[in-house]
Amino acid sequence: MTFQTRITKALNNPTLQIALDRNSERRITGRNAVFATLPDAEAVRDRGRAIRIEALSHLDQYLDQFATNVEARGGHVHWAADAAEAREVVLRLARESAARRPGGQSGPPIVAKGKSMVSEEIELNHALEAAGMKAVETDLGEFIVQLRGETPSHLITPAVHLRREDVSDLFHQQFGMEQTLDVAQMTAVARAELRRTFFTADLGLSGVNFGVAETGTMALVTNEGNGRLCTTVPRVHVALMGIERLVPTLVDLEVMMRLLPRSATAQKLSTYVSLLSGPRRPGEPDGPEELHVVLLDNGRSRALGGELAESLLCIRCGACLNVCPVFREIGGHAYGAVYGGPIGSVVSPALFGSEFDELANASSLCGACRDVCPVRIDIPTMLLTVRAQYVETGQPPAWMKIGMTGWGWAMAGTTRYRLAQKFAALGTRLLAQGGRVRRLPPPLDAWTRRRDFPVFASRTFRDRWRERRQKP
Amino acid sequence: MSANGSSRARMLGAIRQSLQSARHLPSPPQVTLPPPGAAPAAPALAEQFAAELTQLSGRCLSLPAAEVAGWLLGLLRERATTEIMAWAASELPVAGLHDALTAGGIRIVDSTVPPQEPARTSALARLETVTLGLTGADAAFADTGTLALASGPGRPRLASLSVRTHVALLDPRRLFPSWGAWLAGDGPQAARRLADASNLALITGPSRTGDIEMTLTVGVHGPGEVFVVLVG
Amino acid sequence: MPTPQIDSVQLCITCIVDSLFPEVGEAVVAVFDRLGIDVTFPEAQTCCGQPGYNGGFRSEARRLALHTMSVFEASPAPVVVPSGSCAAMMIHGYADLFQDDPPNLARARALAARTYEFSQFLVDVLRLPPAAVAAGARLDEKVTFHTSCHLLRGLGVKDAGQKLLAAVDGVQVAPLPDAQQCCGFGGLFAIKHGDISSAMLDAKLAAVRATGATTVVACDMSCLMHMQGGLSRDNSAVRCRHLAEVLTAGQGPA
Repeated sequence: MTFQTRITKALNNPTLQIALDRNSERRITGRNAVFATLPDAEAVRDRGRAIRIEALSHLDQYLDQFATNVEARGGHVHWAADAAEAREVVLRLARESAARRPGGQSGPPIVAKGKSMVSEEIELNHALEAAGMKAVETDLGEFIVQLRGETPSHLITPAVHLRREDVSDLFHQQFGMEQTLDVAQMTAVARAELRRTFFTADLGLSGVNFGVAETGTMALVTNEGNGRLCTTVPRVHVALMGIERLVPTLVDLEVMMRLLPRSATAQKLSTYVSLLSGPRRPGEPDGPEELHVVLLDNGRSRALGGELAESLLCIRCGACLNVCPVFREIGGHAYGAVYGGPIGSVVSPALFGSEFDELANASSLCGACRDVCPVRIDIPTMLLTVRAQYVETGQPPAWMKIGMTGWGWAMAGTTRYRLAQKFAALGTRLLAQGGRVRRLPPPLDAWTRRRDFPVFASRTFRDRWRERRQKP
Repeated sequence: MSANGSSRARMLGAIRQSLQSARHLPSPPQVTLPPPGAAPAAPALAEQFAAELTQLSGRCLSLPAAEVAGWLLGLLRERATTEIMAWAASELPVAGLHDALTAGGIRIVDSTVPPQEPARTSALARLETVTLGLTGADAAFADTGTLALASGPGRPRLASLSVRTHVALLDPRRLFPSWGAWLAGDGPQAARRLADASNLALITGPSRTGDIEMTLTVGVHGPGEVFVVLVG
Repeated sequence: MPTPQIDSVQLCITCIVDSLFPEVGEAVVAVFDRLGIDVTFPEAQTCCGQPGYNGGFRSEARRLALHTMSVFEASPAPVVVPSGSCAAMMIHGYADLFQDDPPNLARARALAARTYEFSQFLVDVLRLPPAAVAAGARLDEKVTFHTSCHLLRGLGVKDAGQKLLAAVDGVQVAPLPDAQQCCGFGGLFAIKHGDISSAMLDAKLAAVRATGATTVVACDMSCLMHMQGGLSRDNSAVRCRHLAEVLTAGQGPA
């Protein structure tokens, strides 16, 4: 499906439209209210930006320090240059863990997954299933989306595109639940289904919200408790981390944690912030026996040296998605990329290449994203950079290339410019009905499908100015 | 060099190379955050903590140490619960609590999950059914209603995690205005030592989700009920 | 802070106003005439280059930027632009286009330092009392004001236009719900992603209708052209007017 096809599908989906409107309204109000509770909010945002720039500016040193500290606390670090290497590590660890089950326990290795966009990026579930393993999403939104055979449509709320009726239908089909509009009841069904998974999984998989270089600590931020269960009960915990997700110190982490929950879910602090520093220690009653951190590059080191480096500051809060007037109309799936919305329209080309440049065209450059970003990422300027790449790689459609050349020619000198004005005036007068143009020829009919177009003035401003000056 | 060692060198080398040619990383804004203000008096802190926690559907109460056992036994009776997970007696801020509970007919299950099979699987199957967990707390933050629980010997993580009801006993002297104040104030050493724990859980109220139509539901996979007892 | 003594401005008319809405340009001149500020119109100007810049056609945009800069460098007088988006292009976009070209970057910065959007110039720079600017204008209508994105977020102009509008005799200003939400024009976006642009327009027009206003006012003809296009297609009696037209309403031709 092309980008345009996905967009059309989204715009014509009435339930999606309702869900997106509700999401935006709630999120915007909530975010503003909770930021009002943050003392020195603007200074904290500046500090958050400074912390992330510091981390990226010396990423090699901090990553090295982080890895050394993880290993010092008994964890294992795997360096995955790309998605394939990352998948291979997880599959191997899952197999090895399943082999340690008590004798007689058969069945495929089970991986209990906490929410991890990096796992989506490396298409892990597909690889696990292809290898005959069972991947179970335990975050409620991801769980729902997985049962529907979909991908998450938002960085933070994967099922934002669904209404409660859709979830009820799903649970009715899958688990025989009686149809209901009661969200608490549906949540209870999910809890019951997933509880066994937590206690019998061979491997628990999580993302990492922030790695702390100073101590080799990984911060995991969740609300449901599934993240904690995945990283406490199974004998092996694997954490997938993009290499850019570092902060230098614990003090820095606390600053970031004033910004992330507020921006993501309008909370002062998420219900569970787990600071994990190595596997269970001797003498501790529970916890994973093994901790593995998979550090994923997959384009990040290259992006660091390029024009879109600032996009690596992102802390994956999703606030830009929530305020974006375009996202509000088309939702996450339309982007056809793991990372969509405003930041995704920059990160996807930055990490995965030019085929994603076109995402940057789906923006009116209103700047609401930059206004709301907790670390003040200048998304609009980077969208323009991506558009320049889109042009440089020859991707614009013929009409745009021709149109731009023509426009450039016409604007280059006053005689040509005035000629173009006369031409446009004549053209629109001929096309007009009742003083308005109701239909323009393609591709300009994209305007007139919904809007009338004015007739170009036969006496332009400069004509009138000249006349004015000629008056006595 | 091991295969992993060379992957490490390669990736760090790629990063270093990019940073050498990097012209597009923005300059950091120059900013110093004001240090956390003077801590409010203890009663105000306790009030703030209770207000925050209550807003999140958690419950907060103050009890003299002598009354904790009685209150807890009452709660367990209400919940028709006869067995619980608990931190070891040495880790709780109320002396003799284990004995009082046992005397009251409550069984404190062995929360150890041995690494070797088949003991591990059967221990987990057992613990899966326990519905109430009793813990202490290493610190608490008043501005968000948060508890900080470090893992360690005698401190099962599951006691605050897989149960339906989590009861935390908090010494009010461990209540701080905020997480930042805790890091900056009462000994950065103390904070760092706690972060040395393999698992430091910051818990703010009962588990929740807004994943279905952004409608808030309390009590998902983690405890649906959190009681914090300020032990006076 | 003392009010700067400015008695002459250069008008950067913008290709949209020049070609499609010349009456807006005339209204801008009339406002300055009334204030006793001399207006010059360097006739060699064409287009600021924004469509090219926004579309990623940077070499075309650079050519036009160089042309525009030389047109307005000829005089030291400040440049006034009746468009938030064109002003933002000249103030921020040119510096971005020439970031690797130090001599032209310096020219861009120098010009940016004396380039202003129309309402910004009157209220934030000249610090004129809104009543003085609106003196003599009258519009007996319920009106509502749309804050265009480049003006608000690009230039940080929060309420200059609203202040001027409220000072016009007879107007009853109804606040526009979600006034800061983008109308959906976005330049080439309005064509390339005309369907999304139209969906955003529908949301904006619903807000406009909710106010009961008969006139929508803004400082950007690009936004207004897009909104008027939708209103006209809907056979709505609501019309769109640039702020300058309201500031000269009821006064006859200059």
